[in-house]
This record gives sequence, structure tokens and C-alpha cells, in this order.
Amino acid sequence: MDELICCVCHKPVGADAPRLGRRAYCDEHYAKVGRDRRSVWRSAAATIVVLVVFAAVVAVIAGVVDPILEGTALILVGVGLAVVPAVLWLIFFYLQDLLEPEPKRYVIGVFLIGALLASAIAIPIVRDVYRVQDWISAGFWANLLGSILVVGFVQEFLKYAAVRYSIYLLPEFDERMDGILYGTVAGLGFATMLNIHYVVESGGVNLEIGVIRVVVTALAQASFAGITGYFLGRAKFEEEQVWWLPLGLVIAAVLNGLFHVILGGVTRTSSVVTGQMATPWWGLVWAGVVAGLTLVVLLYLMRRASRMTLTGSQGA
Amino acid sequence: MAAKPSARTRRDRWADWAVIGVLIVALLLGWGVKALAEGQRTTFTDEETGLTVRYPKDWLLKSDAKLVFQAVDPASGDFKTTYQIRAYPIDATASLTPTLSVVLNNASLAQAQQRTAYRLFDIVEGDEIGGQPTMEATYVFVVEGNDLFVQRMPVVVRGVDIAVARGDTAYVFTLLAADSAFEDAEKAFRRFVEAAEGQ
Repeated sequence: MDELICCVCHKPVGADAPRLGRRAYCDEHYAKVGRDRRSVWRSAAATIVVLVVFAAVVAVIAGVVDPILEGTALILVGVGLAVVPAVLWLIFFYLQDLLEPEPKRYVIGVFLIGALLASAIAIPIVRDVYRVQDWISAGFWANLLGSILVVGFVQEFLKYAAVRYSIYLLPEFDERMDGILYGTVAGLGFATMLNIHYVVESGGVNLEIGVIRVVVTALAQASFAGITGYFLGRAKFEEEQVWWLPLGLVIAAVLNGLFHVILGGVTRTSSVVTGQMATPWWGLVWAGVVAGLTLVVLLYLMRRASRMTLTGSQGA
Repeated sequence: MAAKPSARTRRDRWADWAVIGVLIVALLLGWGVKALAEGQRTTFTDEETGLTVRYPKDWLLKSDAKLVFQAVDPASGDFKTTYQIRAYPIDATASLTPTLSVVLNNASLAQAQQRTAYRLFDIVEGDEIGGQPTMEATYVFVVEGNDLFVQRMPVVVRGVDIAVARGDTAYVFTLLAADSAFEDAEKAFRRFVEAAEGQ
């Protein structure tokens, strides 16, 4: 008879170890799983607060100091602006994985794979092969279709691949929630590299608006990849049809494309001019709405995935 | 003897290929969209400055000794929407924002002498283009019809100048459009400015 082990730390536990569904836990990790759901939401809310404070501090410093960024300072600021929100979002999503928190080395590994794919493949394809920046503004349909078919599909496929061809194949991917978590992690790695490129290639940005754009982009990329991850999680543990995974990719790509269209109103100078004062914030607001709504859907899917896992329906 | 692949494994493989197939179709369609979008524009390169711009292919080029580039939309009503580009020498070592302000001020003074009821609204910092700071001037003037045989109402024309520095040259991109068409024209004009290369 196989030895019973804790599903989190893999230490041997007795036959009378506490269980949830088919999962056995040691006392320490069972206590963490069983913690009050309010404490989880408090922790998640605290993470959001820290994010907001971070953005506010950067905006205030930028407004007061008005720094001129170049060379090493530019790169350092770019990395800092990109990494801090990504780490904070990572903590937020990691807190949602209640049943069996994933090993940190795998989380970091998938994060790095996402970042690598963004820098090595996604950005060169979109910028250098398709040269999207030259033609995507030619009109409404060029903008919409180009954003979905090129930007959306390239980015979402690579984030999907970061999970599908790495952690998905390992035994550690043992519940539906893992698809969502690793998907968001790949998305955050991806977003980190996109944000670094954004800051560095634009030669420094208006930091007040740039920090908000970075935070919103990280959330959006993570949420869209989390959607694909949900489809991956169900594909592994349920008997889904052949079209199931392509459907997940299409949904994520369409959301990504729409986000790109809306956000493009911030980075391009086609801002709304009212009374000779440029007000480019509307693009950020609407982009944030898209990202936020996707996050709400993702949180619902996370809860659903955990519930299905606990009841042992069709698989893990 | 090798075990037969399970139904699940076969289904997983088909799903993988389906994902890749969808991606390929999307990328091919995206390439088609790119080709269509690029076909709507014509490229102009100024040999002297090396500046390359893309403008709508059904617009008319109008040469002017004082301008690097000028194109007019023939389908835009009583006042033809116009893009212009001028080049001014500047001191590359001087601070950019005040330098570009001076360039726009001088351009405004020149316009005030030539235009009817010219009024400058403001000169402000614009959004960065290619990492470079810009200055923008917005103004308005009136164009009166000079056709003796057809009576037309004077047209209120709005204009925006966007000044960008590259090295020892300041490029001033100008949009002139009738007041009623200005907001729509401005969006396309800003995309035109951002896509300019070699500036």
C-alpha cells in the first residue's frame, strides 16, 4: 500500500491525516487550507492596497522630481517599474491557491519562461516581422483585427505554450486550479518583459501615467493567461472535446486584442483634446475595466475549480 | 509490444494540433490585414532630409519650396485637409523644450502675417514621440473664398503644429482642417506623425 503523504510538502502522514476530497494533509498545511476565507481576502486586499500605494508614490515622485531618464538609470527604473507590480500581482494570485500551494521553484520557473518567450519570440514577431506599429493605426478595422489576430494570438499562444509544454507535463500539475495559477504566472512573466521594453524603448515615459499602465498591463496579461490556464486545467482532468483548448485560446486572444486596442489610445498621441488640455486617461480607465472584469471572471473560475477538485468530479 | 495510445492521449494530440492550426490561421489572416492596411498608404521620402512618411494614397502631393512635404485631401470639402512638414535648423546642444517653443513661436508669427483673423491658442508640451519631447501649437484662422463667380461662406480653419527635434533639425508637422472636420482629421494626423521615420 502506498505511503500516505501530505499533498503540499510531500512528508509522510498517518492514515488518520486530515483530508479534503482525495487529498491528505499534514497538520500544518491543513491549518493553512482551512483558514478563514476572510483572511485570504484580507491578504489579497492588502496586496491591492500596496499596489495602489506603489503607483501613487511613483506618480508623486515623478510629479515633484520630474526625472530625466537615460542610460543605466532608465534601465533600472524600467526594471523596477515592471517587476514590482508583477511580484505584487503574483502574491495576489498565489494567495488564491488554497488547496495545494505550488512549489515556489516551479512558479518562478514558469514566470521566467513567460518572460523569455515574450522577449525572444513575441516582441520580435509583432514588432519586426509584422511591423504592427506601421499599419495598425491605419483605420478602425486594421486596428481591431490586427490587435486580435496578430498581437492577441501571438501573445496568448506563447503564454499557453509556457504552461502546456512545461509544468503541464509534470505530476505537480495535479488539479484544475494549477492551470489557472500557472497561466497567470506565465502571464506575469510575459507582462514584466513587455513593460521593461515599454519603458526602455520609449526612452523613459511619463512616469505618472506609465506606472498605472504597467500595473494594468500586468493584471491584464495575467488574467487573460489565467483564462487559457483554466481551459488547460479542465482539459487535463476532464474529458473535453478537441475544440476545448482552441476555444480557450480564441477567447483569451480576443480579450487581449480588445485590451490592446483600448490601451493603444494611451501610448499613441491620439488623445482626446478638450480645451487644449490633453486627457489620455480614458484609454487607461477602459483598459483597466477590461482587465478588472477579466480578473473577476478568473476569481470565479478559481473558486469553481477548487470546488470541483474537492468534490472529486471527473478527475483530480 | 507497445501499448496502444489511449483515447485520452489521442484526443490530447488532436487538441494540440487544433491549437496550432488556429494560431496559423490567425497569423495568416493577420498578414492579410497587414497587406490591406499597408496598401491604403503611399510612402514619400525626402532626399534632402531622409525623412520618410506614409500618407493616404488618394491624397495629392503639392510641392512647395519652403516645405519638406505637403499633401492635400481632395475629397474634404470647401477647405482641403492638409498635412505639411517644415524643417528648421536648431542648436542640438540646447535644451529641447524651449528651443522647440521658439520654433513654433516663429512659425506662428509668420502665419499671423499671412492669415486672416489668425489667433494662436496655446503652445504646450505634447506627448513624446519616439522618446523625444514635442511641443504643440494650436491655432485658428479664416479662409475666404476668392472665386468671383461662386459665393461661399468663409471657412474657419483649425491648425495644429507638432514640433519634434532630431539632431540639429526641428521638424514641424502641421495639420490644417476645417473646424467641422478637425477632430476626426487630428486622430489620423497624429498617427501620421508617429509613423514618420528618419526624423
